[in-house]
Amino acid sequence: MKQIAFILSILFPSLLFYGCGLDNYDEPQSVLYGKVTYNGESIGVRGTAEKVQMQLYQDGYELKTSIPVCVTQDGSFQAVLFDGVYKLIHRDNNGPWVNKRDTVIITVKGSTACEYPVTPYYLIRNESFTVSGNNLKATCNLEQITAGRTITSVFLIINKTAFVDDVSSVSRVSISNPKDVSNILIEMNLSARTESVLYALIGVQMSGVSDILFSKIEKIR
Amino acid sequence: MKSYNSIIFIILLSFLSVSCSDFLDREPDQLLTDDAVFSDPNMIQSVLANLYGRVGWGQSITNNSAYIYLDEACRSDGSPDQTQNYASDLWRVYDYALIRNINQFLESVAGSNLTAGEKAVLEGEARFLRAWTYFNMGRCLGGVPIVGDEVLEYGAGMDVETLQYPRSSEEELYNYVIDECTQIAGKLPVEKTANSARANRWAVLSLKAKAALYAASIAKYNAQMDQPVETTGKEVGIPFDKASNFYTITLNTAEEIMQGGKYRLQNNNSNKGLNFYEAVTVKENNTEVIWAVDYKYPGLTHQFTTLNIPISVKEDMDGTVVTPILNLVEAFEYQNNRNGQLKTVDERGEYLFYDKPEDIFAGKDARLYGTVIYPGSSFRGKVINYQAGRKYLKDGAWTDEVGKVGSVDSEGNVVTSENGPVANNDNNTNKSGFNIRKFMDELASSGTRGRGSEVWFVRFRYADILLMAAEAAVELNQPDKALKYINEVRARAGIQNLTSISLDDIVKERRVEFAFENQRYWDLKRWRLAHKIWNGDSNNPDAVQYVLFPYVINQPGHSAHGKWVFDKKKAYMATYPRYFQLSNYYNFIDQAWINKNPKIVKNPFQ
Repeated sequence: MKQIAFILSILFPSLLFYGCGLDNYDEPQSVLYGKVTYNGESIGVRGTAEKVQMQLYQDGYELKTSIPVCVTQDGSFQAVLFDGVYKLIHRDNNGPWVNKRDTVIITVKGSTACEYPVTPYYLIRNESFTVSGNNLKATCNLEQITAGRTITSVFLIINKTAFVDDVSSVSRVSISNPKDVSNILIEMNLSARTESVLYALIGVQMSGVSDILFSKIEKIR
Repeated sequence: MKSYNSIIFIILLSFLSVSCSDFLDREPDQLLTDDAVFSDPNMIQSVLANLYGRVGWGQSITNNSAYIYLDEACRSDGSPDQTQNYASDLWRVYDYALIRNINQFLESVAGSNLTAGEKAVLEGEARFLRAWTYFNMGRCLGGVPIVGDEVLEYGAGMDVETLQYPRSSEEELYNYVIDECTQIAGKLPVEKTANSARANRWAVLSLKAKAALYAASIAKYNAQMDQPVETTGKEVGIPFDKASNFYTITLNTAEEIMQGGKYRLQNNNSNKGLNFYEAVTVKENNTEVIWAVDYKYPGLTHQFTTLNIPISVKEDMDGTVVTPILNLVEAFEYQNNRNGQLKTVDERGEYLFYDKPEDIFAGKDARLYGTVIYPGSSFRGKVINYQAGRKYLKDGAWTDEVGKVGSVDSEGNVVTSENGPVANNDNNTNKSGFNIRKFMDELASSGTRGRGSEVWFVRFRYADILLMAAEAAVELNQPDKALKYINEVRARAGIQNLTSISLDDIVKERRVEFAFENQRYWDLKRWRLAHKIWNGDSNNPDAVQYVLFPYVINQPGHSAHGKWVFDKKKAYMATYPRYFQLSNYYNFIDQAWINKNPKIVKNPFQ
């Protein structure tokens, strides 16, 4: 009798710990790999502070809150999602490209890759960084893709990590209102730099565009 | 037998729990009915006081740390502040609970037994607070839903869509504020109110002039941007051609206040620096302040003095939490030189030696004294000494000798003053070389946690009316009028008159006149200058915060021994330059608001 009571006293509380399991989802498993591109070329943006974002919407639900997806500095982004059909746009007036906000419809099923085509105002071509002694020399050619925006400044930025942008930097040299955009040359004196590792990139600020266009990042030291 | 006993006991006990009165049906004495409140003038005042207490947003003396985000002050407490960007919800106002409470108040006042005259004043004040609230929402968000006098109520089975108002356009919002002010100005008394705490006709007109000026400058300067910040429905953005009409409203309204003659620039003290301090900070016999947040001991005091007082005169454990930076100090002109930069070195880069630390500030705009406690000036009758350290010659170069705060050498000479400045992570230690004077209380014991200070926080004052009129006159191409008004303000500050004027002069004048008065952020936003001045570039001296470190020369035998030199440095406490982006011109709309009201559209960049 006592034993039965003991067993029951364990069995009954254990009923309290029973979950039905039906109302729980598995966590999302599918990964969406995306890239912001122009004619297949990726576009460099600021990758910190959630500055450039894509928005994913899914129809058929009561509330229309977008999923923010941050774009990293090489123009790529990724999100872990449930399978389904999503609509992808970039955030309003966000990114160094024409603010068209075209919708790209994506069917996510397992691992999915996508491209989000944009039309930039300018592209940075043939960027090269050379260090001779304490002098860093950066050259590039800015190709105009869409008219309507002037370049207010071009700058050379260096940082001690591979994350380099207008705010994550240890030094910056800028040229305001460059005349010949097809032939940009910026020099920086590195004599005060003691860091053992340095990365560099070129940024282009356009009038009336809130985000800066960046080149590829190169390790210079 | 035993069971009988217990049954009888239970029956007897049950008699005790009989209730015959309506003891449990009492009226709650914590909740008052509308009738009870609005039949008693004192109770109505309490409700109104509650509304007055809920309309403070943005920088203020009770929101001390908000001063560090611009180019006025830095933290001087603890480790460096990492601020760089401006949050998308910084100082955002979206207070429809308050709007609804004001509308309830209006409804109840209208239904009360007060005389028509009493009703008009109460209605005028409540509508003024409502207009002020909308104005504050508008400068954060652009157009917002305008619900008028409606007290929105949801009942079962109701169509919720009738409660969902779309956003007004930005222009409509400012027009609403202006119209409301026009309608209620006549309802309110023309006399000054006690400590300017309650609104009178002139406060209402000040708000009208200000709202029109904001609308005008947004219309003008937004259109001049390379990419105007606007939405398709004009919830954000005002058409360019509306600007001159709004400027005219500002100029006419400001002149109406001047002609009213109830206020004037306070100019009672022949010491111009002290005069400016008294004009802004001291309530007694003030002739200038039109509307302020008043504080009173006991009951309603604030800790602004306690928190920011210089360490050498502190009264409690706190002090020097937020301190002005060199950027602000240099924005003050010299009496005969519009460039306010402090001369620390000569053309060859050699130190300039000063006999006394205050000499470097000689000839400055008198408002500097009234706004900032600088090295060698006094507060509460005591000279406030700032000394970062001493300099001596080593191999022909001036070298620093720096100690802990309050340290002295073996002969008792100060090495580093207890007021600093220093560059370390200590708490309550000055790190910029200045302290705030504006809104700091001279009264003994006002710097204690227990008592606090009853200095007011100014919202509208006569100098603002003059400078608003000057700005509107500049934009309406009436330079003579503009010069007359701005020179009145400049003469009071003891600096030279201007002979020509542009918006740039207005920008400079407003910065120094209204430091710490919650104006600059909104000014730079409406002029669309914020993203140019605070552009996040670490090479831009406007975006980077600087401090001033005074040193005394300790080189016996040298001609400069005992004299003072100054070093300008990047502020240790502000690691990054200020970075105001185009998306910061308007706060983001919260997704939760859209979920509740799908008619609300998002702001640009969102």
